[in-house]
Amino acid sequence: MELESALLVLCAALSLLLPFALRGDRSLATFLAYVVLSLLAILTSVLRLRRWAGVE
Amino acid sequence: MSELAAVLAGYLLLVGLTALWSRLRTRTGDPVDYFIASRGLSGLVSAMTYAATTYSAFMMVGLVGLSYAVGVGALCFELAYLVSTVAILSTLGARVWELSRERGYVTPTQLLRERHGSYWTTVFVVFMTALALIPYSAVQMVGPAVILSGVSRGSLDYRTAVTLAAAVVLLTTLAAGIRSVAWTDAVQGAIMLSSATAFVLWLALRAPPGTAEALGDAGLLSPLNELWTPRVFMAYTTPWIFFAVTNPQVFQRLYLPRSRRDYARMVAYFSVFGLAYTVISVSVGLLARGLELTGTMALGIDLRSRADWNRVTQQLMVYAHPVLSSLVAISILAAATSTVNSIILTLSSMFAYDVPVPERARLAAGKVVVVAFTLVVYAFALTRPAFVVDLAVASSTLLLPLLPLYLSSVYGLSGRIPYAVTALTCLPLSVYLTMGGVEVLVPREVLVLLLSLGLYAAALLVERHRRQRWF
Repeated sequence: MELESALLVLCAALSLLLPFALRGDRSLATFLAYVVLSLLAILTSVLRLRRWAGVE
Repeated sequence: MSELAAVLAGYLLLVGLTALWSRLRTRTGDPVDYFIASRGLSGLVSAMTYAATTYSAFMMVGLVGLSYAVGVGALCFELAYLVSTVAILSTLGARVWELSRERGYVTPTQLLRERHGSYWTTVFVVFMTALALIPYSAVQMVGPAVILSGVSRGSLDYRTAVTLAAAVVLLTTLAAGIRSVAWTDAVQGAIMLSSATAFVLWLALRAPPGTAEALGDAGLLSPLNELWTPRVFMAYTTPWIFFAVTNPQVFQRLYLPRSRRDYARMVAYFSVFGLAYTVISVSVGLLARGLELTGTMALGIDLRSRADWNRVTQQLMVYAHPVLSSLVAISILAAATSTVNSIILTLSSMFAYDVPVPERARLAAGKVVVVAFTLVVYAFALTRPAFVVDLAVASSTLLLPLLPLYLSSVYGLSGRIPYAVTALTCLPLSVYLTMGGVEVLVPREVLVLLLSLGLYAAALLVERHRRQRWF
């Protein structure tokens, strides 16, 4: 599996596991962690699709 | 009322003109143009119609209420959906786009029919999909109708508001099929995002210092708490992370971009829209709860009643300027109609292509189905179906058995017997488990998913083993 696809699957898995890891959080850490995770997934998908579309 | 009337008139004029303009660009009489715009949409329009279709009235009604009640856990649920969707669109979605061009697919179920090779199982899948999506569509009408009637202080009653939503759905669908749906979706998506942004900024400006601490002390910044337990989180999230595959109205949107580059742009723009709209919707709910906890606002929501969670947005509007509350109400109407028109057009294309209809009558049959489904959805919405989130999740659960069927058809693991066995067993089973309220050890949604995947895999192994023995 190529790197971008593996990263995307990892992001999706993390989005399911994070609530268990951050259980009991009383700060804005969960909110920020999910925004960062989403941004990472978006960036990775853009890179993967640009390569697929032939835009390097 | 005068502010609402002015905003509503402006909205209807904008949507009507956009629908008429798109009609001028249509190749009349061509069903491929009517249902998928001859695979010729730009990345931006494809992204906006994808976003407006997937993000419904649920966001500014159900998700706001959910965030208010359970806290940041609602963000985990909705962003888990976004991250999974981005992953699916970047991997499986790109392959689906290629297949649709190579094989000339117009509907999602055409892909199932051709790859698995079973005509009558596909007819069954089409009918079950319609059965699952009718309550989901009706639910979309409830939120805006309740809010419009609230903002107008009763001048616009519930029945009139639902009638108005149904009229917008019919206008945007019948004007020029997918072209009018996609272009009005683009306009409605812009209305949704801009109004929600104005609403959250207004709320943020009212939040006193210490709002975040109040939310933290109430346990609302923890992703899991007594209301949002691990079981509830899994039950809500499981159907939604596969939404991009199992829901035909979004699956069909993968056929629309005119080039690979436009497909890539569609995914990028949609992702940014999704992230912004999700963060805004959840922030509205969290800020509303924070303002209540700090004594800045009194919304009077009964947390023990899940139906009452839906009233958060409506109650916030009491404090907002009439122009702002009218804009938000119209944005919720836009979110609902842009979802329902896409569902109805996709279902009509499936009935035109995947059930026995003569080829030359496809377009006419599709238009008849559009009118028939709009009337059914309208009638169901008038009964005021219960809690928005639960019904929306139930609809997605009913479609979960389609996951192995689509995955296997895209990745070369198709088989006629596994297709028939899984569809004919798991789709009715998911209806029984969901509608019958059956309680089992694991969440129903997880059980439906595991059973569908397991049964398909087992049937495929048996089929391949038997084929090897015979040849």
